[in-house]
Amino acid sequence: MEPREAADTTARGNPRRGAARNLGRLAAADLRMLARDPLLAFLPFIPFLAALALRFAVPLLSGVLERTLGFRLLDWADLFRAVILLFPGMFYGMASGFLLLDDRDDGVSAYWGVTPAGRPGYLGARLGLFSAAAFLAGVLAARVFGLGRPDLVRELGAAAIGAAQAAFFGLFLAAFASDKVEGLSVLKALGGLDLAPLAVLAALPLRAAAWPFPQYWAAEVLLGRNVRPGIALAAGLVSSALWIAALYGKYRKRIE
Amino acid sequence: MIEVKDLRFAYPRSRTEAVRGVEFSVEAGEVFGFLGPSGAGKSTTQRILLGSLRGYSGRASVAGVEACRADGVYRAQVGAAFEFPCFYQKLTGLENLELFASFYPEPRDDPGVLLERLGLAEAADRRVAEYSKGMKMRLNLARAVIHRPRVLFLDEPTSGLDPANARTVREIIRERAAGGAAVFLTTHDMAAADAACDRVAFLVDGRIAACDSPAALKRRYGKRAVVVEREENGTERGTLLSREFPLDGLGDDEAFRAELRKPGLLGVRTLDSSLDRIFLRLTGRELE
Repeated sequence: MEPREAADTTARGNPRRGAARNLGRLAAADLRMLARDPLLAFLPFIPFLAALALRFAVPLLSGVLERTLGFRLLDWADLFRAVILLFPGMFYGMASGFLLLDDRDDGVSAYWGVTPAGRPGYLGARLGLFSAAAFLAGVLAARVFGLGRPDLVRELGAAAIGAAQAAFFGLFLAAFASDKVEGLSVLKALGGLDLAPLAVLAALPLRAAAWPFPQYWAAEVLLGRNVRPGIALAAGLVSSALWIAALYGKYRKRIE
Repeated sequence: MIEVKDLRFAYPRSRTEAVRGVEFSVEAGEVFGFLGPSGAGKSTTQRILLGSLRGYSGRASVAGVEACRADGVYRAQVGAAFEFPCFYQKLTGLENLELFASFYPEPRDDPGVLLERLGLAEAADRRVAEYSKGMKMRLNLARAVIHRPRVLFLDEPTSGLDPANARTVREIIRERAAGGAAVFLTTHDMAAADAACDRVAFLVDGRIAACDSPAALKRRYGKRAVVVEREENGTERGTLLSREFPLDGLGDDEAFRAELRKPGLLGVRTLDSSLDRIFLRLTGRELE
């Protein structure tokens, strides 16, 4: 056979452009796989639907609570916003985790190890893409929610911590679940993390129980209730990095 | 292109070495068959050469670079097809091929041409989940060769293929070798090894028990003799008669010539061994 060269060019020339194009191809492939999976296809939209639902539900519920109990829920809208900002990290992390489970079952993750991308490069690219998407979705979902006192700078900080949760959830699923069914059980166990932002309301020493969890620090970034937002952002990013490093080690052991 | 010297490797928590002092080399343009029973150390050797297993002793290099230092540049020169083809099941064959190929530097083959050659053109836009095993195996080969690697690692490339497709796969392997690639072929399919390989090595218990061209091995492990076969006349169904003659002095052997002149001659065959028999003999499954 006379091999014919492909018209397409990628890695030759500018390596950065080649890497960006490869990332684009990987993102396109992941999007296709999400769209073709009935279980995963709707995951990216859940944070927006939740934000939209809460936008209307919180004022209604606040009115009822104020009339019956004298409690004004709308005063805590910023706490709701913290949770909304973290939603994309969780749902996009779930999506990436389920894709990683598929990869592991199909042996694709092992194959990436013999390509120029390498297994860590491929994993980093996938988690990075989902994290980037979670960051943007977090900021947008907070806008959709629209209640409370919007503060874009603080929202960007909280969304950064939320974005790291995509890698956290993705790796957690891939490291501890054997298949998608087991993955759903793992997610149920992780559901308690949604409540970590509520710890900003608790007094010490109870509040300290939430310190290891980045979700708590995201709420502190937004509310600045117990610690300055800058310090909370640093703590959130450091705790995220530690979790991700530990989970990556566990995931690596599992696939080797 | 591939250099392996005194290669040794033991898996963690294992008392015995999986690979025990293996030595061989594969030149550019050569198809080298790595044969042996399951657990002999073939996959371990291949994984070391692919840079996936570290902690070995001895030397294992590809294109002058030690496998334990494998990086993206190293892996860009290598094409690999695992025994069990692994693809994104929700993507089509063409989407899979283009995605993986995009991570390699140019020049690359046209995926459409490659799929056409392997009989997958019509299935190119079907999801891999709908492919048969044979189709996945052919796509597996396409992915391994599309970036024109200098070194090809193929594990059971003809497994699950019908004879026509197996022949196409062997042709492509030979063509890539003719184009200068070094091909490292791991297989249990002795017919495929015989047809495709310039040299084969039999690996037994982590050691190379024999290494040479298939023809030389068949002669070495065969018997220097020919057998004349004929059908005896006068019987209703014809009884097959065989008579063996030593190869040495065969031209002057009157009995041999007389046998050839008898009626009912069916054929003359040499008593070379086959790679199957050599495999069984070296692995101890059949004693002569």
